Amino acid sequence: MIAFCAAGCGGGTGSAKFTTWGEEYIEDEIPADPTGEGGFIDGWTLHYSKFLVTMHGIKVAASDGTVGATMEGSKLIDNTVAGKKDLVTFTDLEARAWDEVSYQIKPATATSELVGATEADRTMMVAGGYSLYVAGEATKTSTSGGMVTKTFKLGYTLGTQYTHCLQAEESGQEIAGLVVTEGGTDVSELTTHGDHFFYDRLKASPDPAVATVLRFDEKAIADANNDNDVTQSELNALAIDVRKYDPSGFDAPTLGAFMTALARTVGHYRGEGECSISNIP
Amino acid sequence: MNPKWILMALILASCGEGTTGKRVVLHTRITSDLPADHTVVTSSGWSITLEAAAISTGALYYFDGEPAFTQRAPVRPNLLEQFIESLAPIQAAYAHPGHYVAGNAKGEQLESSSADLLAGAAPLPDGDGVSGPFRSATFSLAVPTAGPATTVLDGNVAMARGTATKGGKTVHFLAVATLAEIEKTAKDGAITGCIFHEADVQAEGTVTITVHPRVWFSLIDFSVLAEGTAEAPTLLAADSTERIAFALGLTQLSAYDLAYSTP
Repeated sequence: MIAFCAAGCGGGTGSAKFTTWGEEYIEDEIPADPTGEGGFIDGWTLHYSKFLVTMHGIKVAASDGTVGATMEGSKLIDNTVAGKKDLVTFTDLEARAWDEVSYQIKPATATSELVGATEADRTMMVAGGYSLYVAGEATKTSTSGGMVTKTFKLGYTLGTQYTHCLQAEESGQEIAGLVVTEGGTDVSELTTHGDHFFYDRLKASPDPAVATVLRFDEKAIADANNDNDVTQSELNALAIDVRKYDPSGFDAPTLGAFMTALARTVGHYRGEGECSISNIP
Repeated sequence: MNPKWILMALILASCGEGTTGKRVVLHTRITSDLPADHTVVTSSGWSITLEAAAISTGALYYFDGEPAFTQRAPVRPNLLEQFIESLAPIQAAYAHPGHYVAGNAKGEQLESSSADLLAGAAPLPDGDGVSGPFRSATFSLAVPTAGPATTVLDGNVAMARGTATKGGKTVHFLAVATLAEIEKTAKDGAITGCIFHEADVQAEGTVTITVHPRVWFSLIDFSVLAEGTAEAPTLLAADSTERIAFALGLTQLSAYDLAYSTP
């Protein structure tokens, strides 16, 4: 792991800017892909109408205990709104490597600042105690040739801490956190991955020949009253098909528990970069 | 790097210095949380009464990194606090997928063994470690080659025989799993990120592995199985959905936790 300019790159200050983005999977669609590599293996196409996430406690710090800055308050974001959105900019940060970047996804509050979200969104999130809320529809051509559509509106009250965020390996070397240069502005994107809810595993298989793919057939089957709206209670009532879903050592016997576990993995760092995840009680 | 060599390096580098890095002998034993009637109820409502349950253990490794679980009260309480806590609602453990970071290797026990989980606590071979905080562990299942349950395991890493009852149906079952079947989730049979109830290990002591067999059955739908009889229980057939479910249950983190104690 690179650790350069660990403390004081010759003095001076700079800035660290944080943005957020949902990428094409949230802004546009998650397509069907029979190979399972880039979309639903079982033929569904999914569009999000809402992807609400509340981010708190964005923090720039170092492993030597120094804290550069911490965001006050929280941001309620709708990442179906196109484009990268500004969250916070910390100025006058010491020019150095800050290797402990962290943030939280926790329930919205009445004072959560709106970033692409509406006041009605915030009212709904606060009333439900939600930190994460997704709504949309999935469609698929049925065997009879007609179109099947299933809608969903799912809220999660999870509190998740993302710490020790790492930039993705691009040159074979990981970079922890970020580096502020003198007079410069480093930009970190807190990326939300909309496909994670539909993974069929909670951890990558130790067998490299076994890929993690996206599935929706079983979510559609969960629509027990066949009203074409899949609810959280319906997902909670359907046991996972162990031939298709692998809880990977975690306790997730139903589709609802499975998707709730995956909800914690939505938050990322600078695209494909990952953070250590822990539960906030 | 193999955790064994990391552990050896730690021992050699810090023998006898300070409160961390001192070599300690760690006795090992295994037990289960089965009640006296060997009956547990799964999350899907099946009442499982076990007539036999055995497991084959492989290498154990202990680390100072947080487990893949996160608990509200990670510090193991003393006896008085345990009594007080017994009066309060059970604190839930929250499991989540993420990136288990094992941290520093703190101890190990490398010899295989096996145990009858209905026979009460049983000793496993001794291991060793270095002093300091212990927070998580790797618990391994292995092809049985030693220990008192080798015969009943018959080459499988785990077995369970008993009855499953729900809604008027009772199934007499026999569930087994091979190493190959669990390796689809746990490479080399290693279940990583198990809870080691946080302890500051400073002296010779005992590591107790507690197995929670109820978790083994949490994904099995017994309703699709033939009822069988006590003399001829229904074997969960190879490649069947129920067999896959048993193998997945065996590799659940919540099925095992470890704790340190001193006499």
